[in-house]
Amino acid sequence: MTTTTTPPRDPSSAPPPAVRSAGALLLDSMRSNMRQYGMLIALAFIVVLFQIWTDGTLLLPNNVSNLIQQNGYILILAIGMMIVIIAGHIDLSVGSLVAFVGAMSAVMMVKHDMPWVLALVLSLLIGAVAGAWQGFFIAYVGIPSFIVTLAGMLLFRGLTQIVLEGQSLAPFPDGFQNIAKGFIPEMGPYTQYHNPTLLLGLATIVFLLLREWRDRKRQLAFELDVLPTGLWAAKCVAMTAAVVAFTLTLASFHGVPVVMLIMCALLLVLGHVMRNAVVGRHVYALGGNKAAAKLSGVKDKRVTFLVFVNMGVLAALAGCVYAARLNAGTPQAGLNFELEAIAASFIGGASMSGGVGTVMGAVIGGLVLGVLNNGMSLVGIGTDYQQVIKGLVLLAAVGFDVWNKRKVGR
Amino acid sequence: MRTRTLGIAVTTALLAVSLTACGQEAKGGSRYKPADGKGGTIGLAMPTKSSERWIADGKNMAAQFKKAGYDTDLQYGDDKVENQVAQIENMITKGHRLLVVAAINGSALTDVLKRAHDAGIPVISYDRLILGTKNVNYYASFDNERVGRLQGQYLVDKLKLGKPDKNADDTRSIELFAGDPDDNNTKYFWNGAMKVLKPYFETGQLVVRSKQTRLTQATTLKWDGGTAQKRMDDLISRSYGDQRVDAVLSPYDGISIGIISALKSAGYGSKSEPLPVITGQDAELASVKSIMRGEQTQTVFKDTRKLAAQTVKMGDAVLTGKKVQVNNTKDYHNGEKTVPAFLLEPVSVDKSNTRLLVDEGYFTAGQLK
Repeated sequence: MTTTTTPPRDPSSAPPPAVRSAGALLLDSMRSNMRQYGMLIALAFIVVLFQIWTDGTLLLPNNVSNLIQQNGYILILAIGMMIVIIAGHIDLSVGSLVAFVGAMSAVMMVKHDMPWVLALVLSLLIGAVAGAWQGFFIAYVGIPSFIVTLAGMLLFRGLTQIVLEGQSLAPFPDGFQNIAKGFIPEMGPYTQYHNPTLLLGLATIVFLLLREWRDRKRQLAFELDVLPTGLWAAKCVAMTAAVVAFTLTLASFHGVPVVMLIMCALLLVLGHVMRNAVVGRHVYALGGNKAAAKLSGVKDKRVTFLVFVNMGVLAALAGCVYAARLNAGTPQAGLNFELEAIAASFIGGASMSGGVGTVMGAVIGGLVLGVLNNGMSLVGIGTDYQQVIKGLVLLAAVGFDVWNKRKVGR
Repeated sequence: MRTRTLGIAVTTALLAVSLTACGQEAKGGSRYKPADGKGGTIGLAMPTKSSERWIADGKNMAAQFKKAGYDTDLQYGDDKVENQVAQIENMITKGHRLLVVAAINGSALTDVLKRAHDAGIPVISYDRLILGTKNVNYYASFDNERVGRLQGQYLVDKLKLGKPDKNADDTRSIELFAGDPDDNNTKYFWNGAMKVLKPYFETGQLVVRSKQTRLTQATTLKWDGGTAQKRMDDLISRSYGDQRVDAVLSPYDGISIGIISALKSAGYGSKSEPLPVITGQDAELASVKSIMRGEQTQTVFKDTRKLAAQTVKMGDAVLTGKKVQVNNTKDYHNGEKTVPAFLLEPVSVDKSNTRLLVDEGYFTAGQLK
């Protein structure tokens, strides 16, 4: 999906197009996207594994919908974290920030009866301010992000406990709760399925196919390598089938969860920004080689600052989703979320040295962890073993990447 | 060509998956639900494996439900609320017939229990009362306020304070610890103990030299012994430079262990400077041994096997449509409804009656050697 984000290969080393067979082309494109394809394959494998192991419970419509709601906030964090890591930084404060924003939203809505929309907007603002605070020290003062966000982790955790006085605040208004547990409302005539979801699914298919077609046309116009028509058609059919399956699954329960809508919007907007917008490309440039980027005129301080503001807002959003899901602002919210988000990013193809990764990758990485969590819980594997397994998966994913790079680099 | 065959195979597989998806109707796992009566699976959601007592609770209930003819699905939430919520959701998905929940955070389960209710699954709140929801059917626990009163009374007896007396000239110092702020039971333990201790604070026979006498000052996040140890360190160095602390109210054995470590590193625990009177709860093995060594002074024994047995009896009655036995229908209001409860009696244990734990079969004689 996101082939555009990989660095262009050195043209001199590529053999002339006419000589290359379709198989070589496919292998080549697979290798350059190995991490992401690898993870997609791993995700598919895990899904199939647990689908069999749970006697088909994993892909039941209500469980798919659970899966999205159980992982929504981690996925939101992972998207932000991916961008931070691409920029060559790290953010350890997001878990605490999640707790703090959740606590503030609880104070606003539960203690002061503020309308939820206003409280949500204010919460996101708080996140932006918190992100700006950290971004300022990192970008303009020049303190390493590890230190600044480590400080933030303590700071926001403490503020959470101060704000909540060590206790949980509940309940939230219904509208706010719906951010995490709601679905888009049903409309239209009675079918066996959820109508708006079917429409959204259809729109997604049209969008994806149009994009494929446009990309292919553009690539042909520039005389670039493309997949042979048969294979390309197969790819389109496969994509369509996947979307159809997913749509029908959701549509036979309550439809698309609100969290998923938020996620998709983030994926679309941030995915586009990182792929096509100037500021997005600057983030890659900065993470890849800071000195070169600066010399090429990238405003490194401003870009870094914005990356952390973005992370702050996303952490705030995740905080609201989490609080809404528990229907309570709790002092221990968000413990270790930063680590889950970082793990998701690395599983999804980020590199410790920065400059590599895609927003979609973060989501895939997050889903790998999410499906593991959900699947193991369905099977009845305890949280003790779950952590062991997740640790091994993280190690394997990054190990695979290192191995693959070494092979390609040879 | 091999790649093409592969592509076609993948496409076919995906199409097949999408077709099976079409066949699913919006029943939400209901296909797993057996008819009324015996059988089916019971979901047991416990807080954490980091404390011995929950491991025992889970094991006991699983064994006894099995004996009563049910399967069980026992899951621990690692003391993280979001884990527990997800686990309960998954239990609902799997179509379990009854949920027994020992909440990590009593007020964060309203939404997921609404789902359980919508799926027609009854819920028993185990040990800790679940708050803010109508969708709790029964509550099985120990008389938690009584636990606190036992601890308070033990301190009073051991310090030989007698009846509250304004003219008594003897003043003893005490420090107070409470449990996790998010655990609903914390407040019951605290209130029970305070009911006994308060009169002595008023007469001046007992004094808290650190002046930290409010519940919010005394709480211990996540019942963590390490946290308690740090707090005790600070209390000693700040308020007990030249004076002795005579007693410590501790709500839980794990916390008591931390407190004792802090006291020992401050020089308590020798012949000339004996340890203060320290309470506890749960009769965990390490603490019972500590009591026999003469370090911790007391603990409150709650026979979790009896609680498990009671819960199994309640669950079985709910599922087979029999009358559910309760002994308290007015005291446990969770903010939305008064939950009918069955409360068991806790027992105070100190050096003089640790034998009781062996006699009851809670520990073997070998374990206590």
